[in-house]
Amino acid sequence: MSEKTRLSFLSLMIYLFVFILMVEWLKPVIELTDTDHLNLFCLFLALSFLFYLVKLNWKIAIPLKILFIWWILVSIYTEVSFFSRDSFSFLFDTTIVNIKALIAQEWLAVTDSFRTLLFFILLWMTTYLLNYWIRVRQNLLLFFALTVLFIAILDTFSPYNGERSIVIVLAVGFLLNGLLYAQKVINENKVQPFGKLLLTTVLSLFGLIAVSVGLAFVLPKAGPSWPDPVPFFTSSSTTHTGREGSGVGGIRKVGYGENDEHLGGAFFGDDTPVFYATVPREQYWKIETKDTYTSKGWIQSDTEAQISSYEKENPIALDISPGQEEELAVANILMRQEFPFVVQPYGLTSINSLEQVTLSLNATNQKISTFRGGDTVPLGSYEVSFREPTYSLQALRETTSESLNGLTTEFNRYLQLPETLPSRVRDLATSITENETSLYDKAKIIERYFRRNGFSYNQTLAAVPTGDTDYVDQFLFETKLGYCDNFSSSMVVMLRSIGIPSRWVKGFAAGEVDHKENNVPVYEVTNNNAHSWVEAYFPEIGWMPFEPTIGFSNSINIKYDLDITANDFDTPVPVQPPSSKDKPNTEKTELSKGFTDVMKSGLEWISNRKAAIIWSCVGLLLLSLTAYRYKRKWISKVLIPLYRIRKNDWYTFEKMYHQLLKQLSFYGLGKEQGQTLMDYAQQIDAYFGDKNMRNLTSVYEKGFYGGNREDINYKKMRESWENLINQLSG
Amino acid sequence: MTEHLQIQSIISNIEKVMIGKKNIAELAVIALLADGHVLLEDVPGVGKTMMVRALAKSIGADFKRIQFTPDLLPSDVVGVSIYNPKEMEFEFRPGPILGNIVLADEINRTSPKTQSALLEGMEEASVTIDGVTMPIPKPFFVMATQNPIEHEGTYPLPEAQLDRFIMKLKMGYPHPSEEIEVLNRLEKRMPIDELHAVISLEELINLQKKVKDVKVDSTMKGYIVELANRTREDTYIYLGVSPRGSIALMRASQAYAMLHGRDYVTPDDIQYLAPFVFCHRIMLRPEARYDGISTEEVLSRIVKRTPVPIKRKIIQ
Repeated sequence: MSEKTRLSFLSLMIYLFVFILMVEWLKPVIELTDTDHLNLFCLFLALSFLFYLVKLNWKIAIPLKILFIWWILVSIYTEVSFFSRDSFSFLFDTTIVNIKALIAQEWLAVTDSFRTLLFFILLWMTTYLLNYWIRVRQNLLLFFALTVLFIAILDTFSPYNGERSIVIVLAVGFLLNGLLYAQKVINENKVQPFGKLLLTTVLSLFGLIAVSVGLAFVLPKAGPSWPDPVPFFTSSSTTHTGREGSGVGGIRKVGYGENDEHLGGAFFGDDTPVFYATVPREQYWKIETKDTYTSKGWIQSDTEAQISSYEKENPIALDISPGQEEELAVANILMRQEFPFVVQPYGLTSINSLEQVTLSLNATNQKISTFRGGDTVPLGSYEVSFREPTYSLQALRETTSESLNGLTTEFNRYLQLPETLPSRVRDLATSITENETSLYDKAKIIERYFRRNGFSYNQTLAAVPTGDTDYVDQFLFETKLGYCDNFSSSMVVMLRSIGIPSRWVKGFAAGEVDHKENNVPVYEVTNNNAHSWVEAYFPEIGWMPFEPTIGFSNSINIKYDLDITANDFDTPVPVQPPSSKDKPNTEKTELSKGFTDVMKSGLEWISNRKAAIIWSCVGLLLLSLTAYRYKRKWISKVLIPLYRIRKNDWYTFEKMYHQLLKQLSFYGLGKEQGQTLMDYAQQIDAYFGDKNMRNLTSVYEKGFYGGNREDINYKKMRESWENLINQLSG
Repeated sequence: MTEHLQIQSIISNIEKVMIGKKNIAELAVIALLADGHVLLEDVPGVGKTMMVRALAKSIGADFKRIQFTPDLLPSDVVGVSIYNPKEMEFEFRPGPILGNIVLADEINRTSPKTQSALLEGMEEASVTIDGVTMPIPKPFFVMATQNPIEHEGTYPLPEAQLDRFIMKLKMGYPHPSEEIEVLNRLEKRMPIDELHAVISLEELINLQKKVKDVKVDSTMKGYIVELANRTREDTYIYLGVSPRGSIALMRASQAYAMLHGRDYVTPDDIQYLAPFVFCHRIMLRPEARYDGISTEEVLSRIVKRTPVPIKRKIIQ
């Protein structure tokens, strides 16, 4: 390939990339303004850039472009043939009409065809400007930056989805700028031969960008640190409070999020009080449960619920029975927001209120709503009597997987899992629980799984699953960052995948002690305390709450009626990491999983050796400082072999010469900027008392200023150079 | 590469009559090779005429001398057409400018009109008399002298005219030992009469052509332009060096490189020649005079501060 062909190939690539960037500008404009015929506009762009590329004389290019625009206008807006006389009259008529409209300043009277024409002119001007940037300025950084900004702004503040676009723009933009730079260097320096340079530049550029794009693609990505503003703005105009776990939508003005279909994403803290609870011990306040996991969130399966009504003070039959041996406790609830339902402590027996109310229990989701005369009403304050449930450890330990076989079909909805659930979730659940025999221990292992293995609690970086991504799978294997919804949903899914019936529970955590009334603490429960957790069903035991979320704890009364030490109970069972034999779902997930595994183990390794790492860093720093301080002693031992392995040619010599200048400068014999090399060489030689520097400099000057690089005795030069370098060390 | 030997032989020939003025002789030869003209600013009697005559003799060129006086007319410089009654037509009598080597003595003593007649001839290498343009034979080298002592009744050359001289030189008095040597040599005979041409005019023209083949690297052009630019931006300088000055420095550097047997220009060449080529093109502001700073000092400061290109820049 001759150099000319190479250069024109380079420009072809540059124009091609500019064209791609321009198309990324066009796409959102076309999409957002409901314009059609993207292809025609692209065609026009391609045509323009082609003309600029081949440097077509403007006397030909301009009429061609005008004809093209005219042809498009005629073929889009009329039925007439382009070659007929009618096309002329169409052109004439529209021009007249629009000029009239413009003069009269009736902007709305301007026809579409005229607007299209204006758009074409705009495109024309843009291509002209771009050509100027390419040919004259040889710099497109501004255009690139503007493109990124444009796409980013549109993606953020308009319905346009720039996810693909931004990747294309970034990759193409970097390539484009790199190529332009290569072209500039070649043009300005007349580098001969530049073939090699071009090849290395372009190839390394392509390689670099391909590697970064590839890495970015497979690496796990955190979710947005602030929510997409468009839905945020639209939702904030209709709601005023947020509830953790209620997801992006579904926040009602009544105050409690009902919709959990789309979990994930960041949420904002909100310390608006919801209610005050006067209760002797910290309680979790359960509101309802959900049974169907959709791979994005939770819904309730059975809408035709079995409702049973209760009068106040009457005992209510929930499906978790109150503890028999516990004392009856009473919680006074003072509502600050209007909830037409009851917040329930575990072991609730009855509800009393001064207000007129009928209570109705929905058996499918255990929600107790408050009614008055057929309509739901919020209660201002009420009393809840409860006995905390107790669980016998012995009984819990005796639960076996076989007992699950006797479950009625009623429990099927608590074992439901979406078909799309990636098998690695199941595999993980099976592998971590396979050493446990009792159902309770299996559940406990899953509950504790999150406490290690690299999970962390984070409200702002929780990801939103998009496309086919499963909410639980994403959390377990990719992000490992999230809040209660992530932990609780994951635990439910894992429990179900090993056959233990379980459900997702919504409500509020205990809150903070606000003050004390008659020595009884009053807990303030705010929107921030909105919470979700897990209930698992064990045959012969019943439903039992679990708290997988890091940083939360729900104290459950467990009777240690076993003949074993408590230690044994608490001994954490080593958690098996997911075996590498896991069947990969697809290659992509396999790859990214491999990456996350490597990263995870790397991070663990680092965190286990923090002190050692810090000290070795300090040591290294000290070592390098010392080495730097005394580098005169050893630098020659490094430099001489380093340059000895290189070829004897001009480029090596040039590098060696500049290296020498650098070392001399470190030595304290720096060249002043206005000093010529020969003058400097004389100074250096006078200092060392020989002729080495002058020898080197005269050859360098001859090669550099004179362009005469033949007949150079590189061996001799190397000798002089090594002498000087050694002298600097000595 | 024998060019530099030829040039060296001219210089050593001049040195036979000029003692202790090697650098001036060298610079004059460089100006000649660069196809430029020299302005000598010095007191009378330091050997200006001697040097020019020696130079003319060394290259076998004819030597003309014009003594400028206030009453000198342009026609005295360029020549005049005189009616020849015998032939019944006007006959052109060429003036002294139509020679190879011209010494224009005390150029600032004549009227601007006559000055510009000379300077036009210098610039265009031709004279126009009565509508007839006559080329001045090649090589053409003018050495103009200016007396810095007298100011009464002189017409200092304007800046635009000064720009036409490739360099301005000062001879200065010889060292006492050198002066004794001068006396010794002149005691019995005139060494100038014994000088012979060392090269022919054709060879000289050839040398002038070859000067243009001396390589000036793009970094060196950049360096020259950077120096010129800095004179335009310096706070002490009222008028900086013109592009003509940059061309002059490049051409002179080429000749200087050739003199030293090189076929490429180095920053040393440029730095050495810059004061001779640039100083007379620079006009200082009054502040410089108050601070007691000379043009040479301003220029040497600029040279000191301008980075010498030693590496090819990738980003321009």
